[in-house]
Amino acid sequence: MADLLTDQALNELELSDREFIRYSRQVMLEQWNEQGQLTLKKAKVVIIGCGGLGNIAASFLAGAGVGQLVLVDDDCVELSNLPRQLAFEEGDIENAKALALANRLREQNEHIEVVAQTQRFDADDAHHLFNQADLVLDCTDNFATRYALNHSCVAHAIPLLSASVIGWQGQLLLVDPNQMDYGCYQCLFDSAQDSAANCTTSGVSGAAVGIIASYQANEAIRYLLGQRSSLASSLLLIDSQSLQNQILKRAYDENCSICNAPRQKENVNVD
Amino acid sequence: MSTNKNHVTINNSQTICITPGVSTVVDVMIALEINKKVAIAIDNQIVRQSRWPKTTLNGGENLSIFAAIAGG
Ligand SMILES: [Zn+2]
Repeated sequence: MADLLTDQALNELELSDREFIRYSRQVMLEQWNEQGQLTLKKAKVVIIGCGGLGNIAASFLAGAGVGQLVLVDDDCVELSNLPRQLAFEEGDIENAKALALANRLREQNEHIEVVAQTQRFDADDAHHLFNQADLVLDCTDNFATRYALNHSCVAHAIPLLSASVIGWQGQLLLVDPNQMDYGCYQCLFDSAQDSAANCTTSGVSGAAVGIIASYQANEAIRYLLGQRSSLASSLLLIDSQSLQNQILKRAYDENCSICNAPRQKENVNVD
Repeated sequence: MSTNKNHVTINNSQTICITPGVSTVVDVMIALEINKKVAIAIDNQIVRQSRWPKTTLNGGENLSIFAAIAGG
């Protein structure tokens, strides 16, 4: 995988006149402003999974001007993906999702860098993949990768914004290395979850995917802008049928094999 | 919201009576015949599974019972 911008290049980044016009509506927001836009331009976000959630979240981040996006997925586009994976067209069928999405994002915004990795997430490659990353988005479609990704993000102290969707419902949480009192993904769901249900076996509403991916993208942008996210301490349950969301408070599990070791190490260092 | 002090409300719909034999989270799970992996929140605070056997319900609580989902 090619490296993205060097530190020096990042420090020299400025907004061009064309970028300023392009982003003018969001820069108008008090919580966003020009400095925030520059922060987004310097940001690197790694998106694991380029299916329904990854498609839409990546498109919003590209549109918003997040400067460096890394897309990871080993799947190819299928006809049954098209109702919810809106960045893909019929001509993309059988092409690698990561490459097809990267091409679309480059067409969407000439001011950003996009790297595609057509492999399944590999924890052994996490050190390189997460190098200088500000945030990782979990947009995957299976528990095995979700647990592996959680483990890698905790180990590398990289924030993880995890979204999932099935049927008409979704779940969203942030594992923030600076707020580990609220635990990690595995604290919440131990590693023996029933794995049978996924979009292929249980079905999914494309619009529900859009809702949850939009929440995920919005929280990603807010996090990059330095805004406080309630998702670091909670789990958001989204029900697109009842239109009722529920925020549940999280706490770390002292028996968690993933996040308890770094926490104990931190305590030793503090003492 | 649950109004009956002898009952807990499950996912804002079903209610279950708290008795001497059904008083902990585990008791409720058995009474509801829930065998699959789920997470539970009491009044919007998630309770980790290791604490279910000792978490006593007094009545009036709202339980949210949900499973992890993995689709993307
Ligand atoms: Zn944990």
